[in-house]
Amino acid sequence: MRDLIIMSWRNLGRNKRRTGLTVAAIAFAVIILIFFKAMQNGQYSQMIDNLVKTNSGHLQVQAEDFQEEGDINLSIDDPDAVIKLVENTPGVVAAVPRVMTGMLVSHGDHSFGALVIGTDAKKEAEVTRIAKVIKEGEYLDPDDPEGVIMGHKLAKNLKATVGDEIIVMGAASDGSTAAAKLKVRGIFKMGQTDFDRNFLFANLNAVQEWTVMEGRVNVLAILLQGHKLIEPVKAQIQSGLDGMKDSTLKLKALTWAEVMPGLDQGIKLDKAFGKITYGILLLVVAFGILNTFLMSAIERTREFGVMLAIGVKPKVCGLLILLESQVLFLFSYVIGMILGSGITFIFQMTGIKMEGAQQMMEQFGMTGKIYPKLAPLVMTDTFLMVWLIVLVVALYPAWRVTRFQPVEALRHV
Amino acid sequence: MLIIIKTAWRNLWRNKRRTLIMISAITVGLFGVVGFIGIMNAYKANMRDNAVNTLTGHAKITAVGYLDNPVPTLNFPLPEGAVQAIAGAPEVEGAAARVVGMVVASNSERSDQVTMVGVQPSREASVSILPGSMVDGRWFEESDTRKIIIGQALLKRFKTKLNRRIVLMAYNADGEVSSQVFRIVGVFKTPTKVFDKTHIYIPLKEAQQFFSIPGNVTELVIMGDSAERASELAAKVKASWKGDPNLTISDWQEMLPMLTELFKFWDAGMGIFYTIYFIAMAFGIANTFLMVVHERTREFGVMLALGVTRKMVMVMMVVESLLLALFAGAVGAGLGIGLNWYFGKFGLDLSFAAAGQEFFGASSVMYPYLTPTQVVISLAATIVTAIVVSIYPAWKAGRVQPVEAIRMQ
Repeated sequence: MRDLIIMSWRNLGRNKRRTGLTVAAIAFAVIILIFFKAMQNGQYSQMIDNLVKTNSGHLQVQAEDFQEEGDINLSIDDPDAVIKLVENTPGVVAAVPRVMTGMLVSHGDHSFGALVIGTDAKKEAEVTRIAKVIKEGEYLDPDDPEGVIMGHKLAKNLKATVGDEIIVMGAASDGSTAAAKLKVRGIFKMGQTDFDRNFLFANLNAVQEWTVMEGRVNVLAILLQGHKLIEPVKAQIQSGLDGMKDSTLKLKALTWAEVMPGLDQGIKLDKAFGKITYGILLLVVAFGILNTFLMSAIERTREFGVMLAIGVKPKVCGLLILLESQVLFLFSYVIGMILGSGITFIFQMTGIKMEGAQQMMEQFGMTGKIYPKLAPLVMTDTFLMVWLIVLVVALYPAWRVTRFQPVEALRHV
Repeated sequence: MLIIIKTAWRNLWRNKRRTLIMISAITVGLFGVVGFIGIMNAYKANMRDNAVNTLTGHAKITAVGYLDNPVPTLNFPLPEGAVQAIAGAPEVEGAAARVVGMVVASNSERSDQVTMVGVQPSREASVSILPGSMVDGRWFEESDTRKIIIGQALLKRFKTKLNRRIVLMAYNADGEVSSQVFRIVGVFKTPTKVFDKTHIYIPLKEAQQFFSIPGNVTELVIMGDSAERASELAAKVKASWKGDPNLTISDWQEMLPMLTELFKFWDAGMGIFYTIYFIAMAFGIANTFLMVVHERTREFGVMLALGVTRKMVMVMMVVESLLLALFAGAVGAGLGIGLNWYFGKFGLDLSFAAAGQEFFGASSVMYPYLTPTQVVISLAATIVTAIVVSIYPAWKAGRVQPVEAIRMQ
């Protein structure tokens, strides 16, 4: 076996230019794959991190069907018990209770619809970034029941500034009209268009009062230590919720992906298109190197004839071709990996600015630059994909070599 | 020259397997490129049409500042016959006036903020697909009063049905709360569920009354012959529109900056991928050709010895590459066109990811298509790639020393 490996290395060295070009083709594929996979990797983890800290949290507890219907009456009736359960679950950083309802917000003669969120100001600041993105004025104060904060786009549409009086109007849980006169305490800029245009935050107690929701909440948003914990913690919380007997409505733990299914599927579609793109690239590379492998096997027909004639088994000849491809692959992968990670690493440090796509990136919860992120998975994925292609491509020439007839092969010029 | 082409063609088929493999490499690459272009076209057209055919139209006349701040207070008077006058222009295919504003809709089940669109019953069909998207009940008649048409998704949300009532509530232009009861006469369903969940329609006159702006409208929507020529349309209408300086006209690109930006981003991203594909193709061709030249050194030696000029040998190699690219290009582009034709006709069903499609503002079924220019450009790029990578092997072929080459085994 050792001899075979040495032989295959020497064989590759016999035609340096051909080997070089093949190595270049494979290494090129490796570089491209590493770079784009790292890019996707960085983009998605940045995106998820930004998104969960914008509003949703990693997990949410809601009454069943609230997600679909948005009906304020689909509520968690004993929030304290649920909060206790959630906060005692390992992996949970913080949890914030909220009441959520769509209302009409008016300032002077401007009115806009907004999603009004009544929240626990202190806990909200622990779960989301909201307290850190106040652009004007101040964050919510639990002792100021009239104070609200709103997105800068909403404020602009309403022509409202800090200190202005606004009126909100909507339906209370008992079907009566909920209305309140409030004061703009702060204006935030999360950087995500939808969020900045539609959201208004007020103190939980105040919103509970106008919407006749005393003691009840709609959503408990939960921040975890990391997004890898989402599934296990979700299962644990769900089993705890199932054990709570006194709640009238069935409570559900949902992941951010279930809370924002459009965004989740959007990411999945993007990934699927990415895979097709890689697949086609690999096919193009595969056909490119198939020719080289095949020609280098056929060109050496005479040589294989000699090997067979002196008693080398046909299988060993095929194995030699396979080994050559593996040595070639390893060599190319190492070169590709060094160059690919080098290039990626530079961008990982500096970030890639998406010129002219700022608004679109914001939609996905991204602000500023994209930072590619190298990860072991990026390397192993690339390794497996390219290795598989090289192996499949080498199988055909290897099989052909095992079929050579020594006598005929020897006669071959 | 003809002889060179003939020889090149025959040379290609001397080693069928090798040529077929090279053709496969180019074919797969080009097929991928053309396939992706078709799908991108489908997404772009679909996302654009979903917006253009419901709300924005190809172009829209509004009060200055309305696009940034779409409130009913930014309205303008619509003189008698103004819409007809615009609709009569040769470049205009449809025109209709609307009053649009945010309201709170409620019934005994729930209440939601929605966008209320006041439309001219008989004109709306010339600018949007709404009148043609009714799934239950009927579209408005001119005589309708206190009637409302809502989306299927909203109907479900409100747990209501035809002929039931819905209350709309908002601040009118006088700063007073306006509240009125409407009866559901129709239910619509457009390709985007979000749209259906957030929009309700009432007759224009009702909307004017609701917001206390009799005779005024917030927008005048105009359709031309194609979305691609929307900016020309806007410019032409602007030239003929002798309205007051408080009015402005915008095309859909200006009304949908997000979409315009997204399309540009996609184009750039695709450009990068095409380049990568062509580089990968180039590696395949270059490698094979270099080996071919090496293998055929003796043959080139003989040709040169027989008096064929070095230039001819070089031209022959380039022509071989060119023929290969033409042949493979035709096959790849043909397959790509076929695939696009098939899905363009029968639709590419992506309903398993309907929510994701929705997020992009796209429908569940996509209809890819190609423009002739896109096919020609892809083919041209393939041919250029083939020629460029054949130059070095061709140069090497031309440099063969006859005497040494002939001696080669």
